[in-house]
Amino acid sequence: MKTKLRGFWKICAFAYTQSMKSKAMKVTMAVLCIIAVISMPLSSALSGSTKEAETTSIEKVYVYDNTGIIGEQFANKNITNNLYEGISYEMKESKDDIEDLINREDNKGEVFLVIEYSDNEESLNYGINICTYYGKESDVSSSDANDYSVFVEENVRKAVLKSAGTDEEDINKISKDIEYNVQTFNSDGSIAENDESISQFQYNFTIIFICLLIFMISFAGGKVSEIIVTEKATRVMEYILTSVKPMAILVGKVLSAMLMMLTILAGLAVSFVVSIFINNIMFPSDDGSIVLPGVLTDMVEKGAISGITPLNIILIIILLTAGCVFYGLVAGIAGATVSKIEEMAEGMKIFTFTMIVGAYLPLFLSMTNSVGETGWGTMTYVVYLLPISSIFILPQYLILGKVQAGIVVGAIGILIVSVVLLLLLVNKVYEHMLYSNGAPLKVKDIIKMAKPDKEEKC
Amino acid sequence: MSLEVKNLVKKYGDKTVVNNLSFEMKEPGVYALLGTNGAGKTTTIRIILGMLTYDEGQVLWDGKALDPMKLNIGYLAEERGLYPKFTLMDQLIYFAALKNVPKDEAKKRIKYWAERLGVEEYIYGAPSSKKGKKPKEKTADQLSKGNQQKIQLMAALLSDPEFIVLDEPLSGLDPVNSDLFKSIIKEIISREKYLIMSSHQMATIEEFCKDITILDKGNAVLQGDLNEIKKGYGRVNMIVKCERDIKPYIESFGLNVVNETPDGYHLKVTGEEQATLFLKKLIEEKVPVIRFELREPSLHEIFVEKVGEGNEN
Repeated sequence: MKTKLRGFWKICAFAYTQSMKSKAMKVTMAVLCIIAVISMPLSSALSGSTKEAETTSIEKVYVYDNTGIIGEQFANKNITNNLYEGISYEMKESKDDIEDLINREDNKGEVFLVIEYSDNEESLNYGINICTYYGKESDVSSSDANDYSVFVEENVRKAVLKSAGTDEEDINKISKDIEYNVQTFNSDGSIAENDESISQFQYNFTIIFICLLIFMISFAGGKVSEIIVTEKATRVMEYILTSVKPMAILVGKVLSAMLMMLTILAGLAVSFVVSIFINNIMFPSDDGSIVLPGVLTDMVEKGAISGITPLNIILIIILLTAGCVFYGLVAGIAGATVSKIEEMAEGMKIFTFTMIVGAYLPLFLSMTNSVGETGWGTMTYVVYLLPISSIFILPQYLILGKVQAGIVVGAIGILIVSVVLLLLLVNKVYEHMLYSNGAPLKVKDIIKMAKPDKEEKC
Repeated sequence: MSLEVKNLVKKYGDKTVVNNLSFEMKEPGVYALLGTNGAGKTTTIRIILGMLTYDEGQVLWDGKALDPMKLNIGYLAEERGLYPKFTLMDQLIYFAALKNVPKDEAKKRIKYWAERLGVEEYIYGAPSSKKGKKPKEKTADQLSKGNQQKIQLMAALLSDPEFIVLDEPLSGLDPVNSDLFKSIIKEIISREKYLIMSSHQMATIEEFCKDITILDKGNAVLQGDLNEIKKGYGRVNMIVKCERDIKPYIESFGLNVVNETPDGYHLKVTGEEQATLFLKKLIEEKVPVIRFELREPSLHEIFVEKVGEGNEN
């Protein structure tokens, strides 16, 4: 194995430096970093979120509430904050009153809060509906109207509790997010398995991670494949093979693609830090604290980082590395099955198909988990342990505390075995491609190669 | 040191592409592997270089199994290969590094071979007309085919290899560059290197190679010392040009006319005795002889005879 891998680092270093020196890479890197740098200040400037606490264009709110338990809490200013302290409220008896007011020519600074309860099960408005109206032509901005709507939405539960006479302390307790779990227990009373259902935030976190991984893996895989096809098409491969073994070539290429990816991620991370720094200078918060991106504050506030322990971090790094090497090898073998750049898309079908299946399985699993379905049973473990899908789901689930470390260790083991098997296949694929110049390999040819030889030397 | 290929067999499915091939290089020099396209030359070379596995036989260097990762081998492939978009210096240093040549040493060697092959301006860049501007190094796709071939030869020789394989080294070269490559091959030979050459240019093979193997459909149809092979055929090729028509004498001797050209009749004789008798007859008959040449068959003729004209490309 040592001989077969000899020289991989030289292959990796050359592929990495040449790719980083290429104009395409420099442009991609520059564009991504610029986007990252301007993202936060731009977002702040567009939403005006950091300034929202200062002023609002809303002067008066007319309230209609047929439930009789929500609207008056706002109108009586039992529920308010600094921003909305100066607003005047007026309760209206009927919806017609609201409509009359809306039909007036001048709605300057006015917003209409309509809270309706319908017990008609046939109606689309069955249940409680809350709507904030504002004049298109009035001076109330859409962001102010939206902010007020969010304020109402966030405080509805509080309003109901206040109407019921609940004291402030209990209201604060009950106002926190409520987690709903279903767990099974063994005959001895011990908890058998973790709850599989996930909250909306956990689902969003999982999906963002899957999307990021798809981007990383497809970029790195495409790069590996492109370099290998170029070396084949230009016949450089033949020269290199006099100095190193195919395994070293492929490992070197995969590592170079991973290094490229890490460089891009490092560049993006630095750019985000710069972006946060610029954002805090341009749009400082009232209390002088550092304004962080919403996703980070959400992670801290909603306890999503509870799974971040030293052991889990190590497991995640190993899993991500093994998963990336696995996909890199698949891409490398896929690239080696064709001999011309123009045939690359054809060769990459195996890689793309594998990655899509690998990413979609966790996607469907997290979708069903997010709506409270936990009926995947054994299939859940298949998704966790399959080498094509484990990388897409286990890192997030480990951070979220939705999967046990033992399962991750098992998935890492399976990934490592898969990587070794792929490496054993590499020699045969390369030999075939040298012999049959120009003839693309098909999946059935690769499967045939995977079968052990009777007797072969060298 | 010696290279020994023993009973080498390579199969692809049911097809045997190299069948029980054996040859040996006991001392430095040039060994020729000849054959038509698809005869198994490149497959044999790739097996020796460790790129392809084989089914039976042995490839030995100095009596031990040849390990291409340990032996310093230089290889000029039949189909030239360079990265089209990378600078020549970058890729030459990379190729040298793969052969464990330190960067500084590689730069020295690149300088030597660049001067020797006349490609300095491509590797180091032509001086810019603008003052203070750094010369722009060229990439491989900016070079002509011949110049790419020179860079490829440099890559093969940068590690100062003990064992060199040149697959069609002169194909596609103009006469001037062809002579340049030949002078480099002579330089390699003078340094006592082991060299295997494959070429369709028989004159080049005759110029450099002591021993040959002719392959046909994976089988060695002829092999050994080229001079001995030729001697074995005897001096049976006779060229005669006279001021008078000699057709009646040719017919009376029953000689086989291979060709009739402005420089004379190309005839096949049974041996030196028949040729001497024929010359004697011409002198007796006072026929003015302009040219009389008796020689062994050329490698080209031997090749065509062994492999068959139908196969030749």
